[in-house]
Amino acid sequence: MNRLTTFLQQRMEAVSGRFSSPLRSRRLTVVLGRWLGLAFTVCFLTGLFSHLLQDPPTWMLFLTRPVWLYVATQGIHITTGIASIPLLAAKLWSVFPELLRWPPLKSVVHALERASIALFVAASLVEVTIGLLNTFQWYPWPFSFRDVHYWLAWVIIGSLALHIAVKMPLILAHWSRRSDAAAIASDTEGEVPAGKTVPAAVKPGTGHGWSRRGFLAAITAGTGVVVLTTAGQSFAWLSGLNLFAPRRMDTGPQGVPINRTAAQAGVAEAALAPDWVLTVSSGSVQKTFTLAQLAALPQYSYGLPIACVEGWSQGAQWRGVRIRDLMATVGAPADAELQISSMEKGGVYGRSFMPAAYSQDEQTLLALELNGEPLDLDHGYPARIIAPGRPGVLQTKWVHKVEVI
Amino acid sequence: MRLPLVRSSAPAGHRTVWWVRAALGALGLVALGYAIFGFLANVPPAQLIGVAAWLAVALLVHDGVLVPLTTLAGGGLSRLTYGLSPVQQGIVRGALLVGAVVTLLGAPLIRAQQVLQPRGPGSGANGTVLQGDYALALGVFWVVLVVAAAAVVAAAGLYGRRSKVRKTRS
Repeated sequence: MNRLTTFLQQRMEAVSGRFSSPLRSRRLTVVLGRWLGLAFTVCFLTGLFSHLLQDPPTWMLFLTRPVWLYVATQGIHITTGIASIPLLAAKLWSVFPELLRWPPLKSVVHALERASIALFVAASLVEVTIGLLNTFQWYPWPFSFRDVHYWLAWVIIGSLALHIAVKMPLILAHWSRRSDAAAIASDTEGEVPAGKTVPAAVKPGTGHGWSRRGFLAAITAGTGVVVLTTAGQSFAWLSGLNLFAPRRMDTGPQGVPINRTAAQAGVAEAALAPDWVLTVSSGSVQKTFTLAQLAALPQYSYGLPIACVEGWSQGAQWRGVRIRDLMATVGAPADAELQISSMEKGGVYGRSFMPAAYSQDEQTLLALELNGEPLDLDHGYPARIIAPGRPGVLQTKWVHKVEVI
Repeated sequence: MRLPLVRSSAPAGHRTVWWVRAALGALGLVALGYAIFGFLANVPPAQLIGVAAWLAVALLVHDGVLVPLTTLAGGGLSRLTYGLSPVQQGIVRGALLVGAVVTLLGAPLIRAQQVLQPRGPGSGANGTVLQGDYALALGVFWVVLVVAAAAVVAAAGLYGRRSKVRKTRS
């Protein structure tokens, strides 16, 4: 048994040696870890904001200004998610020999630590993968994206906090270049554990011309390139560089992309029916409006962006009836909370809840026109919601009922 | 678990670090507990098996295939670029790393397009998603990258030779 253990240990050390590289130093891991930790935290917070907007708790504060609020938060969410892919790969590469440490489990606590790291790594890999594929509207997994992406985010942020707590002495020892040098000096004085990678600073001149700085510069460049060539789906000033994002600005009917077509939603027939009417109700008061009657009400025009949970956004000119004017026709207060129903059958977003912050905002419209023309069928003809600073999934299309709740 | 000692001279710093670690650890455990509760309460068991399978496969593919491949590639590259100076080797490695990162993001787009828009952009249900020519963009990106890297490698070689010549003259 002893011989077997020794044999295994030697094999693991040999494999570990094969994977060791002077580049794989603790300082490198700490530098990459800082960037990745920051990217994960920003991604988590912006994602949480998006989640709370869609599933609001009672204490939620809704902001309608700036009107591009959700463009910014969700654009940052998707962009930091994309940036974290190369950073995660580099960070995991830098600690790879840790995986081959022998013995694999030294104690119960050690086993728990390794299990928590395995969970952290697996959750991070799956989270960025499904997040990226979701922006393509490609769903090759056997589970609900929304729930799993949300709960994995909590796994990751919890694991991140735990990981920092466990590794803090190491992180502090290699935080700055000066502390790194001190840590290496004191490390090399003592016993160097078997299989431990040698920090780059101890063993300069690897012969590959591939220093830690060179590696960090390349990872920074790679991350920069993927950010610059994808963020143009969310931020107009980068749209000229948009090579690798699934979405483009200024495309689609009336120059605006579509998340769900009328065919996908199965609403074409109902939406094009000549007897379409909008029902507006408050308590026992109920009114119906034909499209012509809606068009006869005072019309307002605003330039508002539409921003999707998948990160793409598009500025557009919307024209229609103010929601608060519409509510006044049935005697409802301007700050009423509303339920908006689409003609879309089934689907999570066939009905949306509109908190008072949006219903009383002067720029919240029941839009009838987009960029100077009647709404395209795929943009929600005959009428859709457009409110400032809201996720696109809540800007209900093919509206047929607005009720005070 | 043996934790390395904090190398700090001030005992007050020690105490602060201890408290920060304890607080972060506790917060982490609470968030993890919340996540596990969330999964059990919101995701049906059949889907949980799917999540577990994806988590396991992600670890296997990353640790068992991707990282070993990068190590092999790194070793092969050392042989291929044997005659080059360290700076030139660094440039080659840097360019390849940038190319690999962009490919990592570009390849799934091309695959998704094949699956969702099999007869070109716009043939699927929604013509406003995956409408770019990603294969062409990736190809052009690699050509530009290779040309730029080759030019910089050549320039570094020329500069190196000239500075060597100057050194011998002086």
